[in-house]
Amino acid sequence: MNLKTPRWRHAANGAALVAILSAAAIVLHTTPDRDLQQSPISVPGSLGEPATGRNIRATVHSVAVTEAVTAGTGWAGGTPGVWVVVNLSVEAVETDEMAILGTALLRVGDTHFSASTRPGRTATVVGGRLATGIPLTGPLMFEVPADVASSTSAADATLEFAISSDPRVDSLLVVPVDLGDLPVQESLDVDVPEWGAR
Amino acid sequence: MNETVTEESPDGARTVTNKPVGWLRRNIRGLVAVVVLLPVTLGIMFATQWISYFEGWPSRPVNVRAGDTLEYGNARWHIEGFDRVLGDSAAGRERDLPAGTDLLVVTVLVDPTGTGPDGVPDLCAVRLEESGADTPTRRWSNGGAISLDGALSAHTSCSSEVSTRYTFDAEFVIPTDAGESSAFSVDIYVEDALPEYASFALD
Repeated sequence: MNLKTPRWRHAANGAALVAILSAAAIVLHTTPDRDLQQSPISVPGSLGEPATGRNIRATVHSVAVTEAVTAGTGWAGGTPGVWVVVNLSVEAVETDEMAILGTALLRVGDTHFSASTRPGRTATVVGGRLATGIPLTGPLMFEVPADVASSTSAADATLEFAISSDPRVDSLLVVPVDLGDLPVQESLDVDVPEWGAR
Repeated sequence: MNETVTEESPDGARTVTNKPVGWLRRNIRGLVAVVVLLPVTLGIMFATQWISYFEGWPSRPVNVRAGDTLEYGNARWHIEGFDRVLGDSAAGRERDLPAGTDLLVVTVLVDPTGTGPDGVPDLCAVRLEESGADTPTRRWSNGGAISLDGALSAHTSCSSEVSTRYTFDAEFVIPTDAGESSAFSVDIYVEDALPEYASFALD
Protein backbone atom coordinates (compact mmCIF):
# COMPACT_ATOMS: atom_id res chain seq x y z
CA MET A 1 0.00 0.00 0.00
CA ASN A 2 1.37 3.35 -1.02
CA LEU A 3 0.39 6.15 1.46
CA LYS A 4 2.37 8.83 -0.27
CA THR A 5 0.24 11.77 -1.54
CA PRO A 6 0.28 11.77 -5.33
CA ARG A 7 2.00 14.64 -7.09
CA TRP A 8 -1.12 15.79 -8.89
CA ARG A 9 -2.74 16.46 -5.51
CA HIS A 10 0.08 18.84 -4.61
CA ALA A 11 -0.29 20.56 -7.96
CA ALA A 12 -4.07 20.79 -7.54
CA ASN A 13 -3.70 22.28 -4.06
CA GLY A 14 -1.23 24.82 -5.39
CA ALA A 15 -3.51 25.74 -8.25
CA ALA A 16 -6.46 26.09 -5.89
CA LEU A 17 -4.43 28.34 -3.61
CA VAL A 18 -3.34 30.55 -6.51
CA ALA A 19 -6.95 30.75 -7.74
CA ILE A 20 -8.23 31.77 -4.28
CA LEU A 21 -5.50 34.40 -3.85
CA SER A 22 -6.18 35.75 -7.34
CA ALA A 23 -9.90 35.98 -6.65
CA ALA A 24 -9.19 37.71 -3.32
CA ALA A 25 -6.88 40.20 -5.05
CA ILE A 26 -9.52 40.98 -7.69
CA VAL A 27 -12.21 41.47 -5.03
CA LEU A 28 -9.86 43.63 -2.94
CA HIS A 29 -8.97 45.91 -5.82
CA THR A 30 -12.42 46.22 -7.36
CA THR A 31 -14.51 46.61 -4.20
CA PRO A 32 -15.54 50.26 -3.72
CA ASP A 33 -13.61 51.89 -0.89
CA ARG A 34 -15.34 53.41 2.14
CA ASP A 35 -15.58 56.86 0.52
CA LEU A 36 -17.25 55.45 -2.56
CA GLN A 37 -19.56 53.19 -0.53
CA GLN A 38 -20.78 56.16 1.46
CA SER A 39 -20.76 58.73 -1.31
CA PRO A 40 -23.93 60.69 -2.08
CA ILE A 41 -26.21 59.41 -4.82
CA SER A 42 -26.15 62.06 -7.54
CA VAL A 43 -29.45 63.02 -9.14
CA PRO A 44 -28.85 65.11 -12.26
CA GLY A 45 -31.14 68.08 -12.79
CA SER A 46 -31.44 71.00 -15.16
CA LEU A 47 -32.33 74.66 -14.91
CA GLY A 48 -36.08 75.22 -14.63
CA GLU A 49 -36.93 71.54 -14.19
CA PRO A 50 -37.64 69.82 -10.86
CA ALA A 51 -35.08 67.25 -9.72
CA THR A 52 -36.30 64.66 -7.24
CA GLY A 53 -34.27 62.62 -4.78
CA ARG A 54 -35.22 60.38 -1.86
CA ASN A 55 -36.70 63.12 0.31
CA ILE A 56 -35.93 66.30 -1.58
CA ARG A 57 -37.33 67.94 -4.68
CA ALA A 58 -35.81 71.17 -5.95
CA THR A 59 -36.20 73.44 -8.94
CA VAL A 60 -33.63 76.07 -9.86
CA HIS A 61 -35.68 78.83 -11.48
CA SER A 62 -32.92 81.31 -12.22
CA VAL A 63 -29.28 82.16 -11.59
CA ALA A 64 -27.75 85.63 -11.61
CA VAL A 65 -24.34 87.14 -10.92
CA THR A 66 -24.31 90.52 -9.23
CA GLU A 67 -21.93 92.87 -7.45
CA ALA A 68 -24.44 93.73 -4.71
CA VAL A 69 -27.60 92.09 -3.45
CA THR A 70 -30.42 93.28 -1.22
CA ALA A 71 -32.51 90.65 0.53
CA GLY A 72 -36.26 90.90 1.07
CA THR A 73 -35.56 91.47 4.75
CA GLY A 74 -33.65 94.63 3.93
CA TRP A 75 -30.22 93.13 4.43
CA ALA A 76 -27.72 94.48 1.90
CA GLY A 77 -24.45 92.69 1.42
CA GLY A 78 -21.29 94.07 -0.01
CA THR A 79 -18.53 91.77 -1.14
CA PRO A 80 -15.05 92.16 -2.63
CA GLY A 81 -16.07 89.43 -5.06
CA VAL A 82 -19.46 88.83 -6.64
CA TRP A 83 -22.70 87.22 -5.53
CA VAL A 84 -24.16 84.26 -7.38
CA VAL A 85 -27.86 84.52 -6.57
CA VAL A 86 -30.06 81.48 -7.18
CA ASN A 87 -33.85 81.44 -7.06
CA LEU A 88 -34.87 78.01 -5.81
CA SER A 89 -37.99 76.05 -4.91
CA VAL A 90 -37.41 73.16 -2.54
CA GLU A 91 -39.66 70.71 -0.69
CA ALA A 92 -39.55 67.41 1.16
CA VAL A 93 -40.93 64.41 -0.71
CA GLU A 94 -41.66 61.78 1.98
CA THR A 95 -41.52 63.39 5.40
CA ASP A 96 -40.82 66.74 7.00
CA GLU A 97 -39.17 65.15 10.05
CA MET A 98 -35.52 66.26 10.18
CA ALA A 99 -35.98 67.76 6.70
CA ILE A 100 -33.94 70.90 6.14
CA LEU A 101 -32.02 72.21 3.18
CA GLY A 102 -28.74 71.28 4.85
CA THR A 103 -26.55 71.21 1.77
CA ALA A 104 -26.58 74.05 -0.74
CA LEU A 105 -23.30 74.27 -2.60
CA LEU A 106 -21.94 75.97 -5.69
CA ARG A 107 -19.10 73.96 -7.15
CA VAL A 108 -16.69 75.65 -9.57
CA GLY A 109 -13.87 73.38 -10.66
CA ASP A 110 -12.42 71.78 -7.54
CA THR A 111 -13.67 74.53 -5.27
CA HIS A 112 -17.04 74.58 -3.60
CA PHE A 113 -18.85 77.49 -1.98
CA SER A 114 -21.55 77.09 0.65
CA ALA A 115 -24.63 79.27 0.44
CA SER A 116 -24.04 82.34 2.56
CA THR A 117 -25.70 82.65 5.95
CA ARG A 118 -24.70 86.32 6.17
CA PRO A 119 -28.12 87.58 5.05
CA GLY A 120 -29.74 85.93 8.11
CA ARG A 121 -31.95 82.94 8.72
CA THR A 122 -35.15 84.36 7.24
CA ALA A 123 -33.64 85.96 4.14
CA THR A 124 -32.72 82.80 2.24
CA VAL A 125 -33.86 79.18 2.06
CA VAL A 126 -30.58 77.69 3.27
CA GLY A 127 -30.92 75.72 6.50
CA GLY A 128 -34.67 76.25 6.51
CA ARG A 129 -37.13 73.52 7.48
CA LEU A 130 -38.94 71.93 4.57
CA ALA A 131 -42.55 70.82 4.23
CA THR A 132 -43.74 67.64 2.56
CA GLY A 133 -45.11 68.41 -0.88
CA ILE A 134 -45.22 72.18 -0.29
CA PRO A 135 -42.45 74.15 -1.98
CA LEU A 136 -40.49 76.88 -0.25
CA THR A 137 -39.34 79.37 -2.86
CA GLY A 138 -36.64 81.91 -2.21
CA PRO A 139 -33.07 82.98 -2.85
CA LEU A 140 -29.70 81.41 -2.17
CA MET A 141 -26.64 83.65 -2.20
CA PHE A 142 -23.13 82.44 -2.87
CA GLU A 143 -20.24 84.79 -2.22
CA VAL A 144 -17.61 84.02 -4.85
CA PRO A 145 -14.27 85.64 -5.83
CA ALA A 146 -14.71 87.59 -9.05
CA ASP A 147 -11.94 85.69 -10.84
CA VAL A 148 -13.59 82.36 -9.99
CA ALA A 149 -16.92 83.50 -11.44
CA SER A 150 -15.21 84.47 -14.69
CA SER A 151 -12.82 81.51 -14.90
CA THR A 152 -13.05 78.84 -17.57
CA SER A 153 -14.32 76.37 -14.92
CA ALA A 154 -17.32 78.64 -14.31
CA ALA A 155 -18.89 77.37 -17.52
CA ASP A 156 -19.18 73.93 -15.93
CA ALA A 157 -20.26 75.01 -12.46
CA THR A 158 -22.84 72.95 -10.59
CA LEU A 159 -25.35 73.64 -7.85
CA GLU A 160 -25.74 70.83 -5.33
CA PHE A 161 -28.60 70.34 -2.89
CA ALA A 162 -29.29 67.72 -0.21
CA ILE A 163 -31.67 67.22 2.69
CA SER A 164 -28.99 67.27 5.36
CA SER A 165 -25.58 68.80 5.89
CA ASP A 166 -24.11 65.31 5.50
CA PRO A 167 -25.48 63.92 2.23
CA ARG A 168 -23.56 60.66 2.35
CA VAL A 169 -25.62 57.65 1.22
CA ASP A 170 -28.47 59.97 0.31
CA SER A 171 -29.64 61.91 -2.71
CA LEU A 172 -27.60 64.86 -3.93
CA LEU A 173 -29.32 66.95 -6.57
CA VAL A 174 -26.79 68.28 -9.07
CA VAL A 175 -27.85 71.08 -11.42
CA PRO A 176 -25.28 72.38 -13.95
CA VAL A 177 -25.12 76.15 -14.50
CA ASP A 178 -22.99 78.15 -16.90
CA LEU A 179 -21.79 81.08 -14.82
CA GLY A 180 -19.49 82.29 -17.60
CA ASP A 181 -22.52 82.97 -19.76
CA LEU A 182 -24.16 85.30 -17.23
CA PRO A 183 -23.66 89.09 -17.25
CA VAL A 184 -22.48 90.63 -13.98
CA GLN A 185 -25.28 92.88 -12.77
CA GLU A 186 -24.59 95.98 -10.73
CA SER A 187 -27.18 95.15 -8.06
CA LEU A 188 -30.09 92.81 -7.46
CA ASP A 189 -33.10 92.84 -5.12
CA VAL A 190 -34.58 89.50 -4.07
CA ASP A 191 -37.73 88.53 -2.18
CA VAL A 192 -38.01 86.76 1.15
CA PRO A 193 -38.67 83.00 0.95
CA GLU A 194 -42.33 82.14 0.49
CA TRP A 195 -44.32 78.95 1.02
CA GLY A 196 -46.72 77.49 -1.47
CA ALA A 197 -47.21 76.86 -5.16
CA ARG A 198 -45.83 79.55 -7.46
CA MET B 1 -4.43 9.27 9.45
CA ASN B 2 -5.35 5.67 8.69
CA GLU B 3 -8.45 3.61 9.29
CA THR B 4 -8.47 -0.08 10.15
CA VAL B 5 -10.96 -1.97 7.96
CA THR B 6 -11.92 -5.61 8.53
CA GLU B 7 -13.33 -7.43 5.50
CA GLU B 8 -14.82 -10.91 5.53
CA SER B 9 -14.61 -13.08 2.43
CA PRO B 10 -17.41 -15.55 1.44
CA ASP B 11 -15.39 -18.47 2.85
CA GLY B 12 -15.28 -16.79 6.24
CA ALA B 13 -11.69 -15.62 6.13
CA ARG B 14 -11.11 -12.22 7.65
CA THR B 15 -8.72 -9.68 6.20
CA VAL B 16 -7.64 -6.65 8.17
CA THR B 17 -6.32 -3.69 6.14
CA ASN B 18 -5.14 -0.24 7.04
CA LYS B 19 -6.77 2.32 4.64
CA PRO B 20 -6.03 6.06 4.61
CA VAL B 21 -8.98 8.20 5.80
CA GLY B 22 -10.24 10.86 3.36
CA TRP B 23 -9.81 14.64 4.02
CA LEU B 24 -13.53 15.16 4.32
CA ARG B 25 -13.99 12.49 6.97
CA ARG B 26 -10.99 13.70 8.92
CA ASN B 27 -12.33 17.25 9.06
CA ILE B 28 -16.03 16.58 9.23
CA ARG B 29 -16.46 17.87 12.80
CA GLY B 30 -14.72 21.14 12.07
CA LEU B 31 -16.69 21.61 8.85
CA VAL B 32 -19.99 20.98 10.61
CA ALA B 33 -18.98 23.47 13.30
CA VAL B 34 -18.19 26.10 10.65
CA VAL B 35 -21.42 25.45 8.75
CA VAL B 36 -23.46 25.82 11.95
CA LEU B 37 -21.56 28.54 13.80
CA LEU B 38 -20.92 30.92 10.89
CA PRO B 39 -24.59 31.60 10.06
CA VAL B 40 -25.50 31.66 13.76
CA THR B 41 -22.81 34.27 14.47
CA LEU B 42 -23.82 36.40 11.48
CA GLY B 43 -27.48 36.08 12.43
CA ILE B 44 -26.83 37.21 16.00
CA MET B 45 -24.76 40.18 14.77
CA PHE B 46 -27.41 41.30 12.27
CA ALA B 47 -30.26 40.74 14.75
CA THR B 48 -28.51 42.76 17.46
CA GLN B 49 -27.91 45.68 15.12
CA TRP B 50 -31.33 45.68 13.46
CA ILE B 51 -33.34 45.10 16.63
CA SER B 52 -31.68 48.04 18.41
CA TYR B 53 -32.23 50.13 15.24
CA PHE B 54 -35.95 49.38 15.08
CA GLU B 55 -36.42 49.79 18.85
CA GLY B 56 -35.32 53.42 18.66
CA TRP B 57 -38.07 54.81 16.45
CA PRO B 58 -41.79 54.23 15.89
CA SER B 59 -41.61 51.12 13.76
CA ARG B 60 -44.40 48.89 15.13
CA PRO B 61 -47.88 50.32 14.51
CA VAL B 62 -50.89 49.47 16.66
CA ASN B 63 -53.71 50.05 14.20
CA VAL B 64 -56.87 51.61 15.60
CA ARG B 65 -60.12 51.88 13.67
CA ALA B 66 -61.83 55.25 13.39
CA GLY B 67 -63.83 55.97 16.54
CA ASP B 68 -62.05 53.42 18.73
CA THR B 69 -60.08 54.20 21.89
CA LEU B 70 -56.61 52.85 22.57
CA GLU B 71 -54.74 52.53 25.86
CA TYR B 72 -51.16 53.36 25.03
CA GLY B 73 -48.34 54.65 27.22
CA ASN B 74 -49.80 56.29 30.30
CA ALA B 75 -53.12 57.34 28.74
CA ARG B 76 -56.18 56.40 26.73
CA TRP B 77 -56.31 58.01 23.28
CA HIS B 78 -59.25 58.74 21.03
CA ILE B 79 -59.70 60.80 17.87
CA GLU B 80 -62.67 63.06 18.54
CA GLY B 81 -62.84 64.41 15.04
CA PHE B 82 -61.04 66.18 12.26
CA ASP B 83 -61.70 69.11 9.97
CA ARG B 84 -60.18 70.06 6.63
CA VAL B 85 -59.86 73.82 6.20
CA LEU B 86 -59.57 74.64 2.50
CA GLY B 87 -56.89 77.14 1.62
CA ASP B 88 -59.20 79.28 -0.50
CA SER B 89 -61.98 79.38 2.10
CA ALA B 90 -62.56 82.29 4.48
CA ALA B 91 -61.18 80.22 7.37
CA GLY B 92 -58.15 79.29 5.27
CA ARG B 93 -57.47 82.93 4.40
CA GLU B 94 -57.86 83.82 8.06
CA ARG B 95 -55.08 81.38 8.93
CA ASP B 96 -53.00 82.71 6.00
CA LEU B 97 -52.54 79.31 4.39
CA PRO B 98 -49.95 79.26 1.56
CA ALA B 99 -51.16 78.91 -2.02
CA GLY B 100 -52.00 75.34 -2.94
CA THR B 101 -52.41 74.10 0.62
CA ASP B 102 -55.16 73.06 3.03
CA LEU B 103 -55.13 72.70 6.80
CA LEU B 104 -56.12 69.44 8.47
CA VAL B 105 -57.04 69.85 12.13
CA VAL B 106 -57.32 66.64 14.15
CA THR B 107 -58.81 66.78 17.63
CA VAL B 108 -57.30 64.17 19.96
CA LEU B 109 -58.82 63.25 23.32
CA VAL B 110 -56.25 62.23 25.93
CA ASP B 111 -57.30 60.60 29.18
CA PRO B 112 -54.29 60.08 31.45
CA THR B 113 -56.38 59.28 34.53
CA GLY B 114 -56.04 55.87 36.11
CA THR B 115 -53.37 54.59 33.79
CA GLY B 116 -49.69 54.04 34.27
CA PRO B 117 -47.80 53.41 37.47
CA ASP B 118 -47.85 56.99 38.70
CA GLY B 119 -50.31 58.72 36.41
CA VAL B 120 -47.58 60.91 34.93
CA PRO B 121 -48.91 62.34 31.66
CA ASP B 122 -46.96 61.55 28.53
CA LEU B 123 -45.38 63.94 26.11
CA CYS B 124 -46.06 62.72 22.60
CA ALA B 125 -45.31 63.33 18.96
CA VAL B 126 -48.11 63.37 16.40
CA ARG B 127 -47.81 62.98 12.69
CA LEU B 128 -50.19 62.62 9.77
CA GLU B 129 -49.59 59.81 7.31
CA GLU B 130 -51.00 59.57 3.80
CA SER B 131 -50.83 56.17 2.19
CA GLY B 132 -52.41 54.68 -0.88
CA ALA B 133 -51.95 51.73 -3.14
CA ASP B 134 -50.61 53.79 -6.03
CA THR B 135 -49.04 56.71 -4.19
CA PRO B 136 -45.90 56.84 -2.09
CA THR B 137 -46.40 57.30 1.64
CA ARG B 138 -46.07 60.91 2.81
CA ARG B 139 -45.88 62.25 6.36
CA TRP B 140 -46.40 65.61 8.03
CA SER B 141 -45.48 66.39 11.62
CA ASN B 142 -47.79 68.29 13.93
CA GLY B 143 -47.12 72.00 13.51
CA GLY B 144 -44.59 71.35 10.77
CA ALA B 145 -42.39 73.95 9.17
CA ILE B 146 -45.10 76.46 8.22
CA SER B 147 -46.24 78.98 10.82
CA LEU B 148 -49.87 80.04 10.55
CA ASP B 149 -51.80 82.98 11.87
CA GLY B 150 -54.21 82.47 14.77
CA ALA B 151 -54.66 79.41 16.96
CA LEU B 152 -57.61 77.08 17.29
CA SER B 153 -56.96 75.40 20.62
CA ALA B 154 -55.36 75.95 24.02
CA HIS B 155 -53.42 72.73 23.47
CA THR B 156 -51.73 71.90 20.19
CA SER B 157 -49.99 68.76 21.43
CA CYS B 158 -49.69 66.54 24.51
CA SER B 159 -49.11 68.17 27.85
CA SER B 160 -46.96 66.72 30.60
CA GLU B 161 -48.70 68.95 33.13
CA VAL B 162 -52.36 68.11 32.59
CA SER B 163 -53.31 64.93 34.44
CA THR B 164 -57.05 65.10 33.71
CA ARG B 165 -58.95 64.43 30.46
CA TYR B 166 -58.15 67.03 27.83
CA THR B 167 -58.15 67.51 24.10
CA PHE B 168 -55.61 69.02 21.78
CA ASP B 169 -55.77 70.06 18.15
CA ALA B 170 -52.98 68.72 15.98
CA GLU B 171 -52.54 70.84 12.85
CA PHE B 172 -51.11 69.74 9.53
CA VAL B 173 -50.58 71.98 6.50
CA ILE B 174 -50.93 69.69 3.50
CA PRO B 175 -50.95 70.13 -0.30
CA THR B 176 -54.43 70.37 -1.79
CA ASP B 177 -53.90 67.07 -3.63
CA ALA B 178 -53.19 65.16 -0.39
CA GLY B 179 -55.83 62.55 0.37
CA GLU B 180 -57.33 62.61 -3.14
CA SER B 181 -56.55 58.98 -3.90
CA SER B 182 -55.17 57.87 -0.55
CA ALA B 183 -56.15 57.45 3.08
CA PHE B 184 -55.06 59.45 6.10
CA SER B 185 -54.05 58.09 9.47
CA VAL B 186 -52.79 59.90 12.56
CA ASP B 187 -49.79 58.39 14.30
CA ILE B 188 -49.17 59.12 17.97
CA TYR B 189 -46.11 57.93 19.82
CA VAL B 190 -44.57 58.45 23.23
CA GLU B 191 -40.90 57.93 23.94
CA ASP B 192 -41.30 55.29 26.62
CA ALA B 193 -43.60 53.10 24.51
CA LEU B 194 -41.41 52.86 21.43
CA PRO B 195 -41.15 51.07 19.07
CA GLU B 196 -44.95 50.68 19.27
CA TYR B 197 -47.04 53.62 18.14
CA ALA B 198 -50.76 54.22 17.81
CA SER B 199 -52.01 54.58 14.25
CA PHE B 200 -55.57 55.95 14.12
CA ALA B 201 -57.43 55.69 10.83
CA LEU B 202 -59.28 58.84 9.76
CA ASP B 203 -62.53 58.26 7.93
